[in-house]
Amino acid sequence: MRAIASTPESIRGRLRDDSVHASLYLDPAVFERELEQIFHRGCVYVAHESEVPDPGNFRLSWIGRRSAIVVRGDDRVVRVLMNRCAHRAATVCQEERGTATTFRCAYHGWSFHRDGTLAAVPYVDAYGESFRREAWGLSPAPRVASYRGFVFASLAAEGLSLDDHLGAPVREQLDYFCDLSPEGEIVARSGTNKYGYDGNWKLQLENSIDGYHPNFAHQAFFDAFGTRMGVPLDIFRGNSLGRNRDLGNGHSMLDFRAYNRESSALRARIDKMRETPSGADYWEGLRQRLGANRALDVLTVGGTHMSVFPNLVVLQNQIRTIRPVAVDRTEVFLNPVLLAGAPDPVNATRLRVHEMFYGPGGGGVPDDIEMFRRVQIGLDSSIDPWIRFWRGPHREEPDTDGTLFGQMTDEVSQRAMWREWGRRMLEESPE
Amino acid sequence: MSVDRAAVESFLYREARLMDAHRYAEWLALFDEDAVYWIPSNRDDIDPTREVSIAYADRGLLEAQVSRLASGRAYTQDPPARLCRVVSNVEIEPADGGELIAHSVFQLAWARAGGQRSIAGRSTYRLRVRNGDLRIASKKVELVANDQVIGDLTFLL
Repeated sequence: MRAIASTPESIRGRLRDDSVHASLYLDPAVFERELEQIFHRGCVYVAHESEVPDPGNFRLSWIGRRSAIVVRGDDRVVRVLMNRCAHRAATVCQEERGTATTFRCAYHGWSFHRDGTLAAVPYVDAYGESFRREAWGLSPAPRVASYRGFVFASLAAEGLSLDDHLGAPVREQLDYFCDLSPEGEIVARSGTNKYGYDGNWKLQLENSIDGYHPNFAHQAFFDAFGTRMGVPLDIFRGNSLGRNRDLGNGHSMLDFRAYNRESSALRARIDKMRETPSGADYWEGLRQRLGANRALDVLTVGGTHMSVFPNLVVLQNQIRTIRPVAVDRTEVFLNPVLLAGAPDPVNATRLRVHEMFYGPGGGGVPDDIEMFRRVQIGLDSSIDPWIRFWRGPHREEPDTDGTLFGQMTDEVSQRAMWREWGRRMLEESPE
Repeated sequence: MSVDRAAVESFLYREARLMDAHRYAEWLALFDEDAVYWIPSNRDDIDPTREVSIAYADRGLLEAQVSRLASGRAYTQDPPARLCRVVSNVEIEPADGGELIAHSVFQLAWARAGGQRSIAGRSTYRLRVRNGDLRIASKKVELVANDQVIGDLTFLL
């Protein structure tokens, strides 16, 4: 569609408490403002520290539209450096992952140390006596912080701290995800499934915490794999004990905790796992670190299923990153993670379970990709342009931890996401 | 039964025809009971117990995946993609236990929903003779684009 506008007035007119105008998924001007207001200002997930375990290890990442190098220095600090030569802007890192002694720009031969400082400039005398090396390094992201190894960067010098951005409820979920490891450490070096679709980035974010669609979009998966994967078929029903939860700041989750803790089938599966040799080892490792009660609860909850606004989803065995490419083009990266200290068969099983549903050849993700394609066409075919997130506001209620929850198939998560989206988009622009 | 390259080529051409036509049950029947089907992700040579694949299936998993595709509710096949592939560069070599290894490459044209794509790769098979017919003991598909952002792959490869 043609660009309409991205002024605060035009955004306000297209956003209601429980409904959004279709053009917010279609308008290139809105997309540009999203990059500036959301991706180039706030905390954005860039990498997990375990991807760069040793000095010189790096991976490329994205902060909105900007290419960034996540690299561990000789001082073991993980830095986020813009992938842009200080001279004439060519990228200095071409490999997705690897180990570097220096980053060298092939264009005019400039090179940079692993901490981003300038190493060498060919024929430097042309700059005269006043050349200051310290002014010509790779630019670091102004703010970088991590929690449980999840590294976030912000391109704005001022803003919410990472702890405040995540909030206690998100940190609690990341703890559940990482505590599945007997050492409390996940290892995100198991490769990536990558897929793209011709649709807006918010469709993937909405979908990742949508408890209403699985029994329909993924019916064929549940029919074919349900028993094999041990997926309970009633968790996504309208009367499920599962919750759809607003964790604050636009983050939200499909909360299986109450359901799982009541499930005798799940308890039987855990007990059976503990009777296998590798399962017994795994259990013993968890019990020693966490104590029996917490260890059993961590296994019962089984990770998490959570979105962290705007570009991170942590669910089941994977870290999922959403990259907005254009208003109608999105790329998604799935990094399944292994559990440090867990027996090999436990980790191999995590990969196989992941592949059954996720990735471009999995039994579930392709159905979502196809729904995004259909939605993108439908959004642009509107006479009545409003998308109504009307499921369940009457039964949304605050919990003791300050979060809001509704029933699994309610649209608590989508309302939470759009509330934060509106808040960010209506913030005053820096200049 | 003596298996020469011509016999392997006939087998691979027939497999390609079944895959192009979405003839799921007949394709599945080419695999032996202990077969492994593998599409690595990111690189061709990974350790599938430590790194993620696009697909890594034993016969049982392959049956589940195929039954999903055949259900009419795998929505990337509603409507189905039209497929046409060329299989070429076939080479064979003997393997242990009277089995043989077959190498081939494919170039696949895919068309659906207003879009066209070209998908290419290299396939390696371990084949054996059972009841007079060739059967697949393992198949590995090395996609040229296995490290790139790719779209849906829920059709037979």
